[in-house]
Amino acid sequence: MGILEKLQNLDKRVFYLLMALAIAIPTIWPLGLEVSITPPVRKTYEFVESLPAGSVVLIGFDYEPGDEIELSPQAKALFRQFAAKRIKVVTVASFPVGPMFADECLRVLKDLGYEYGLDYVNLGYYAGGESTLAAFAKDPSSIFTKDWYGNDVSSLPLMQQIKSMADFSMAMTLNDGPTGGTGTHEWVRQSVMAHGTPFVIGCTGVLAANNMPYLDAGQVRGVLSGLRAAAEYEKLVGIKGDATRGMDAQSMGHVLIVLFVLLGNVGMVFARRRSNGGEKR
Amino acid sequence: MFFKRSVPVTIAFVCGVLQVLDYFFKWGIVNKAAQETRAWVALVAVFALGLGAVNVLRVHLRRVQQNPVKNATSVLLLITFLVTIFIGLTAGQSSKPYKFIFDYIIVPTGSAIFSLLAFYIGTAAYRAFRARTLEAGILLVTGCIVMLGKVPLGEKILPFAPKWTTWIMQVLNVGGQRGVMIAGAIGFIAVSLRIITGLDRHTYGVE
Repeated sequence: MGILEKLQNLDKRVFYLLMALAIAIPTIWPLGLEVSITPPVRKTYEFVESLPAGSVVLIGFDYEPGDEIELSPQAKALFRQFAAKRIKVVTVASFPVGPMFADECLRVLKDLGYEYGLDYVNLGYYAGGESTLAAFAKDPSSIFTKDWYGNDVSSLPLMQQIKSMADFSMAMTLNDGPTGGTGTHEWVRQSVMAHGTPFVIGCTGVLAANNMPYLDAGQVRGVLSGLRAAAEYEKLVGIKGDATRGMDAQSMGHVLIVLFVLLGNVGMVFARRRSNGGEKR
Repeated sequence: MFFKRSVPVTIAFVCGVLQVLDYFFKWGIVNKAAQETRAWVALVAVFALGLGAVNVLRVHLRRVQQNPVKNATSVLLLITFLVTIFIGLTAGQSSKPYKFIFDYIIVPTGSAIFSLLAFYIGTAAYRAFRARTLEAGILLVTGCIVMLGKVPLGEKILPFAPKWTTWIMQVLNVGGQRGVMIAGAIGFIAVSLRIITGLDRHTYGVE
């Protein structure tokens, strides 16, 4: 087998080894690459900045463990911006594991002096997807009578201000797609279209393409997609968290895949030329 | 036939029409009834979740009964399933043991399985992404630009990549996605109408 054929058919174990190294090395020894701020992230940041101090926002933790690495850093960076403006937070989740992620991310607010029940509330999990979200949007007390920790929702001062979705200054979903939970399209329908609540999407990298039309049409105020958006947000709020560290590994992974794809194509082009030349002779 | 077809169709028709009327009109009794039916969905969904759990138990218990050695993974599933439920019910979901299971078993295993995609997608891209035709070539170039434009190292290699990526995502992609979304929404309305009016027989289990 010549080198051109080899380039087209490299052993996948070579790729696996190189990919493992490409991810592991920058994780252990970070490269410290700077990220630039993209327009969708800038829009989200500026929209949150425009919210009055003391506003109440609703965040949906609609993801499972596989996507935690992309979405939890988005939540943590956003919470830092919320804390600077003393914005209050209510969380819900359409996956059974969602409240646990919410609990972990809300620790950022707790560490910054937020008080449970007064400044933030974790309502927990709801089953039933869009229909239940629609019922919650019209009357939150019809879906949640107890919060995640078993407290009576009616006894929490923050929840006493909330009578419907329209009482939130902003709603947001941290979403890994319509795989059992409430998807981004459902959130847009129930928050923006039904109640006119300004909406922001935080999604995994692969979902960015699906959600861009909403941003372009002005139906959502911002889209954060993947680890990259989380890293940009960390830069905007002035921290170096998990996303900033993860971007180095993701950089190397992407470049390696592009390199392999190019190598395969170079091999194919030259092999084709050689065989065409052979035929002519 | 009455209980198999007429009753479900009537329930679907009443619930569906209630939701439509509730969205467009402010009629006290209709709005209240629609809200009530939406809240029922949560109950039905929780019931379905319980049914799913019972089904998982039944299937794996049967497998263990047949051959516990060969079906060791089913034994493992049953043990973790029952331990998690027991801890959740007795100590609570915000307790330390439950948090331990979540932080040190559920999250790492879920992330590990998902992270394998980096390896599989990488090799699949290497083997399948070949510019054999003009269309495949365009897809290849676009894909490479977007992949590089999304990471800082890519910006260093191709400084124009982030700008081009934004343009690809917000112009080319949005145009295509918008078409798909509008077509999908029209299809969604048509299917909803068929279900509400009982024309879609498969929804009601009629062959």
